[in-house]
This record gives sequence, structure tokens and C-alpha cells, in this order.
Amino acid sequence: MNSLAPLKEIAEKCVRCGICQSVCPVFAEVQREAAAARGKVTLIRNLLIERIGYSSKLSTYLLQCLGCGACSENCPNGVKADELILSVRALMVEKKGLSLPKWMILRGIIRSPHLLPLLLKTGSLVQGLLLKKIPKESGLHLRFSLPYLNKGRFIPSIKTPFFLDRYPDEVKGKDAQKRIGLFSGCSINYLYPSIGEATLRLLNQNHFSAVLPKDQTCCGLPAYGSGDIETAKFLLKKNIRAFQSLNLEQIIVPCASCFYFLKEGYLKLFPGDEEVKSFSKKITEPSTFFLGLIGASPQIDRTSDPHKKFRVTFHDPCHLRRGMKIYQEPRQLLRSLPGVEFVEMKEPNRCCGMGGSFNLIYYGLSKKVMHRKIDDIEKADADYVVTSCMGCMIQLQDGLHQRAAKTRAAHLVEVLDKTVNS
Amino acid sequence: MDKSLIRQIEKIVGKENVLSSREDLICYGYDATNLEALPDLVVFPKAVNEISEILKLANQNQFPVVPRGMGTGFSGGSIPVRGGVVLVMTRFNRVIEIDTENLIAIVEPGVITGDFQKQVEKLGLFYPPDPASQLYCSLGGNVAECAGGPRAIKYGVTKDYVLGLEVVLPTGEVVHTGVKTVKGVVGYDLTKLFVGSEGTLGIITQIILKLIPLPEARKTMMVIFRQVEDAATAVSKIISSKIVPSTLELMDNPSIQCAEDYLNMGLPKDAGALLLIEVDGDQEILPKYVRRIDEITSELNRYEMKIAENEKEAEILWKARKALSPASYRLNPTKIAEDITVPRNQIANFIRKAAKIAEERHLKIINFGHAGDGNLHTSIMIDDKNENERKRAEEGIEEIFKLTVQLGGTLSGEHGVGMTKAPYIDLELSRDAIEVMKKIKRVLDPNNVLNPGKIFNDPLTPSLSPDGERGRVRGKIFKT
Repeated sequence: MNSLAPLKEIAEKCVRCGICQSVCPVFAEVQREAAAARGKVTLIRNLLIERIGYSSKLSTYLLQCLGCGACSENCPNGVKADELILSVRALMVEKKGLSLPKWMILRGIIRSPHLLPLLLKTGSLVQGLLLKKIPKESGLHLRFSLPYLNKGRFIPSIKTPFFLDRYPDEVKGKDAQKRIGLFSGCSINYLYPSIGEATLRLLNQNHFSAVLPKDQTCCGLPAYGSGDIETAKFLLKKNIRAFQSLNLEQIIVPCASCFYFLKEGYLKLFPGDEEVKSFSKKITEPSTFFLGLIGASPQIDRTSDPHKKFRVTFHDPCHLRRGMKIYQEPRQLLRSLPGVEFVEMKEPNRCCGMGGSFNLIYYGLSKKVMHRKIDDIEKADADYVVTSCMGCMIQLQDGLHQRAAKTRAAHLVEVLDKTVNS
Repeated sequence: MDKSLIRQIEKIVGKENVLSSREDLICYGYDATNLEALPDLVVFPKAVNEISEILKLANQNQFPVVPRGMGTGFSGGSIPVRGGVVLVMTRFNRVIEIDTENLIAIVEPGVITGDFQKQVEKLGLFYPPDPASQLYCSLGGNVAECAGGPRAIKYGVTKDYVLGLEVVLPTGEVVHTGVKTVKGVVGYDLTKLFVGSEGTLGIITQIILKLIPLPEARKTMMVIFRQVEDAATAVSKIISSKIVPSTLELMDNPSIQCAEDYLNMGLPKDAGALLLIEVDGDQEILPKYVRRIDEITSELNRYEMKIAENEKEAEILWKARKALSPASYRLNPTKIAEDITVPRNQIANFIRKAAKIAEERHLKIINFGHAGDGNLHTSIMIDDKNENERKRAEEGIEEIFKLTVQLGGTLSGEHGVGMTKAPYIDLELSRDAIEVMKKIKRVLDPNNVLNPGKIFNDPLTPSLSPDGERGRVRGKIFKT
């Protein structure tokens, strides 16, 4: 029971003032106590003193959280409710095991080096049967509902050959002195290779060699978020092994969620582990990395540049802003780009509603949260809503597509690449 | 609760609006005190007749009905201490009308106070009551508890803005009280009776609110004093000089220390007290007010005066006051938060004497709050697990309540009696006055179905001490 003491301590710090309800995107839609942190923390408190058990109702309520961290950020007493919820999800898996679909995906498919690529290759051949092509957005539109996938929604198509298969282990830049690792993550490797390519181009142009170890794998965040610590640790070790001996200057991670997990999550899984620490130190993300290169000072602001080509706004990925406190860097970078006009949308740090598997399990709810985001994006009247998390990208594309909005979603490196290379 | 009864209630409001799992019941058994109790059922009505029907059932079958807004109360008012049905009013969430000609609004009780304020402010209008929880509490709860806030010194409290109500009586009848006009004296003032009745006399389903024009501008300043007496003198002098600030917040020395340790914002830790002052009104008049406050306070033993030049600087000044809630938990994990109110000119006297009461019992005490109207949040910080300390705190609180009444004050300025102060109301109210109140309750609620166990020190309400002595109910789980 001693291992529960730290959890109890966090839970008891909550004085149930209710402020979390005013910032929780799930509560805004559901309007029930169990949706916001106050209710969840109270349930956890009751679980820890054994007034309730590991029931399926509790599991449902604990999964009904996007993990956006707005509650923790606004809690006057510093209760880290999002972390508490994740810890109890892990306890839940320890006691009750994973649900069958999650078990198949996390324990079977994601862990195997061959199964996921094989399945996706097969998928790429049959996707045309189920899905209608949307060439402009390079994605697919579901012709009818599938388990976990509702009709009419936009999903990115599987792109073959996969990103990592398109290049050798190392792509040398011109006069390159330094070697930078590139962690693609699943989304870029299978669904958005163009974002990987843009990153690679930018690295090479700036005289870096890009190193793409082929045995890198999923960062492990989906497993961690589902409480499957064992799989998360397994993937962590695999990734560290893939990059460790390559003598890299830094490792760039274009996806903000993967970045957060590689940099912060790994330290939490193996606290004090030197190997993990030195790996974490090398992890960087595009806005910090490229801003460092161009040495843009906060004074550089081209927003009043008369020759504007397009107007952009930035959506803060929760893992970047709340997880890593990085939010000024992408804005500075965007403001410094020639031809780009930057505008701020209302509540740019409000969660898009993706929340990893939340989007699959609670698509209806996820969509409601998403529509508030899309409202704010449309009001900003931008050509592009820029973000840097692949989860946010998928969600925003779905929302914008369903509304037939004029604004398109783009990754930060795509905008960078576009302004530099066009 | 009997299955057939649950089925009848489901029939009234729809199955999807009734919760009965243990997990859900737990989530509707608390508020912002640390009290808990389990209801038998949680119901989300949407229409007045649904509430009527549920109350009729309650009278026939003798089960308690406890109305609940957002559950942010500070006195246990919405806790189902005897089980029964928790009636959650959040689906009554429409702003029905904002009448800019007559300066009134008609709202439903589930509307979030802060959302409503934003809405009227867009029209240049103002709904002043500002409880600390304004962003996440509801208007219905504010009316039921008669919520206050820092602006009360100039603008009054919730009851000063409620013109009329629609109320479902405990026996199920629906009555409309009050008027839509500024004046109105036909019959007894039932509106005032229901405002602050803590959900014991009826369930509010509609509220007519008075609005006022939004002041054009605001100026924020902070004055730090060497002695708490100087701060108290400043409060009296400012008010007697005919300036009524829109906010006049005080923090005593332990509060300043607490906030400074937490924020490191450069507050002098040996200061006796500080005042956070806001004045509002027409742009042109504000510099005059500021000058006058400067003159008054410079004649006293003050450390310094800071004047915010813009919104951002004002926010920095507010930081210390707003940080007190989390900062105070550094002293000890449990807060016994009171909201006693004394006449303005007794503030310094009260703080000194309360400090002595705490000191004698080795308790950590901080005083902060709305000095302008004499409403102080006296908070004793204890370790709840320390039985002995808890006992000493209970004694200390009782002494502080007695002191408050001696000084001509009241036990609760804005939180309400609920459960936490029920054991003490006879310190303030005479036997006869309590009897009148009980008679009113019996006339309206003959079967005692609506929010039983609140306000009156009822023998059926469990007390903190197991031997049934007068004690507080804080921190106890009543029903599992």
C-alpha cells in the first residue's frame, strides 16, 4: 500500500474549490462532476481508501480526460490532477489488465517491429475501398462507419513508401559539420512523410546531416496514456538503443507529443537513470532548434511587412505549452518569417480535443471539443492554422474538412520550409 | 432508495438525467468545504413542473431533496447530509432576457455568474456581486446563499440585486415573488425571505436581477502599513472622507508573510497589514480619489503606497491577495475558513484579540478579507490528522465567534450557516428569533423534506465529536 502514499498526498491537496471546472474542455461539454478534475480526484481519493473498487465506471471516468493539463495549470493548490489520473490509469491496468482492443494494439502490434508496417502496407492497398480520396488535403473521407471510426470524418491516408524507407540511415547536408538525429514518430513515418521531408530539407540546408535510425519506433506515449507502463518502457529502451551509439549532437522530434514524451516522460519512467538522462538532454523540437539557428530576437517582427503572402495563427499543442512551457518560440519563429502575417486566435492554448485514444473512444465528445476550437480558428480568418503536434494536426484537419473551412492545418516545419524554399 | 421510486423519478426527468452509481453519488456529495455525504440519487431537472413533481413525491415518500448549483459553497449548504435526492440545477442555464431599458435581467439559476457578468458588461451594464468563485459558481447558488465579494463595500451583495424570484415550494407549488420594477411593496417581501434561505425554503427556478451602468474606469493601489491599527484607521478615514472604494481588502501580518514566502514579490514581512484598494467611476474623478487616499494614508504610519498605472500593474498588486489561498496551505494542510463580519471600526481590535485566542491555543491563524465592510476571512490552519490540534481549533473557533458577537458582528458575512455554523447560531440569535425562523420553515416545509439538517442545530445533524457535544461537523464523512 505504501506505493499509493504519494498518490494519496496529491489527491488530498485538492480542496474541491471547483475552479478546474471553468477550464476543463471535457466538463464544458459534459457538465457532470466526474468530467472535471475535482470529481476525478475525489473518486481517486475514494479508491485509495477502498470506498470504491477498480470498477468499469471508474475506468470510464478516468479515461474521459484529454490530459490537456488545464486543470493542473489553473489549480490554486498545485494539484497535478492530470498526472494523478495517468498514475491511476496505470494502477487500473495493473489490477484489471487492458481492454482487448488496446491489448492487441499496444502489446501485439506496436511492440512488433514488423506487424505494424505490414498491417499499414496492407491498409494502404485497401484504403481506397473504404475511403474517398480528398486529393487537396491528401487525406481520406470515410464512406461509411467502421468500429471506432465514424462516417464522414477525415483521416490522413497511409503513404507508401513510409518516410523512413525513403532515405538511407544518414542524409548528408552540404558542408555538414554536425549530425542531428531525426525521430519521426508513427504519424510522420506512416501518414505525413512530407513533414519528415521538410524537416530533413531544413536540416540539410542549414548544414546538418540528418540521421534516421531505422529501428526507431513509437515513442510510447499512447501506451503510457492508456496505463500500459510495461509497453511504454519496452519502447523507450528500443528507442534509446536505436539512437544512443550514433554520437549525435541533438535529436529533433517534429511532433510535440512525441517530443514531450521523449524528453520528459522517459525521465519519469526511469527516474535517475543516467542513460535516459543523457538521451533526454539531446531531445529538441523544431521551434526551439530553428529559432536558435536564425538567432531571431524577440524584436524581429515582420507582421507589418507590406508583402504578405499568407496569414497564419498558432494552435498550442498541450504537450508543448503546458507540458514543456514552450509557446513563445513558435510564435517568434512565425513572426520572423518573411511573407507571413501572424495573428493570435482566441484561447490558442485550449485543447483541440484529440487526446490520443480519447478521440477514438469518445469521438462524439472529442468532436464537440474540436468544434469550439474550429470556431476560434475560423474567427482568426487565417490561411493556415499552424501547430506542431501530429495529434492536433489530425484533429484540426478533420474539423476543418467537416466545416469546409478556408483555413488549412499545417505543421510548423512545413511553413518554415515553404517560406524558405519558395 | 426504493427501486419503484427511482423509476418514478426517471419517468419525470428522463432516465439519462438520473444518476445512481456509487461513483456518481460520490461526485455529488461534496462542496468546497471538506464535508462529504452520500445522496441516494442525483437528478438533473430541466423544467419547473419536473421539480414540482419530485417534491410532491418527496412529501409522499419522506425523502430529502437537496438543491445544488455548482457545488462551490463554503458552508455545506448543498451536502445531502441525510441522503435523498440531490437536485442539480445546472440545466437551468438560460439567460432569458437582458432588458437594457429597464436595467433588469431574467436568468435561470444554473447560469455561471462570471459568464452572465461578461454578457451584461458587453452591453455597458454591471452585475457587481463578485464571490471569489465567480468564474465557476452559479447565480442560483449565489442567491440561495446571498453571496458577497470584495465589491460589496460599494455595491452591496446578491440580495441588493434580486428583484424577484420564481420558486418551487417544498410542497410542490410554484410561486412568483417580487417585481420587475425598482419599487414594489405589495405584501410581505418574500423575495428577501428566499434570498439567503440556503435551499431550505424553496427551489429557485428563475431570478429577476437588477443591473446598473458599468463604471467607466478603475484604479488599483496598495498601501502597506507598519501596524494593523494604522490600516484599520485608514479604512475608517477613507470612508469618512466620503470616498467609497469599490474594493478595500486587508491582509494582516501573518497573511503578508505567507504570501511573501510563496511569491517573493518584495513585501515587507514585518508590515502590520496592507490594504488593497480599488476606486472606480468616471475617468476624470479617479485621480482625485487616489490623491485623497494618498493624503489620508501618508498621515499614518505607512511603509509605502503603490499605484498601478495599468491593468498589468493592477494584476501584480492583486497577486499577493489571490495567492493567499494556495500560500496558506504551506502553514498546514487543513484550513478552517470563516467569514465573520464585525463593524468596520472593530477590525483592528478583532485581529489583535483573535491572534491572542489562537496564540493561547498554539494555533496558526491568518486574517484577510473585505476590510471595507468588516468581513474577514479568519482562517485557522491545522493538521486535520492531529486530533488534539483539531480539538484546540474547535475551541478557538468558538471563542472567535463569541468575540465577533461581543464586538457587534455576525458569524457569517457571505458563506451562510449551512452545516458548518449550525451548531453556533444561538451565539448570535435569540431563542425567540430562532423559533420564528423554525416556524417559517415548518409552514413552508411541513414534512422537512427540503435540505434538512441545515441552518438549525438539529439533533439529527451529526456533530464532529462522537459524544454529541456541540462541535463542528468539519471533515467527517456522514453516510456511506
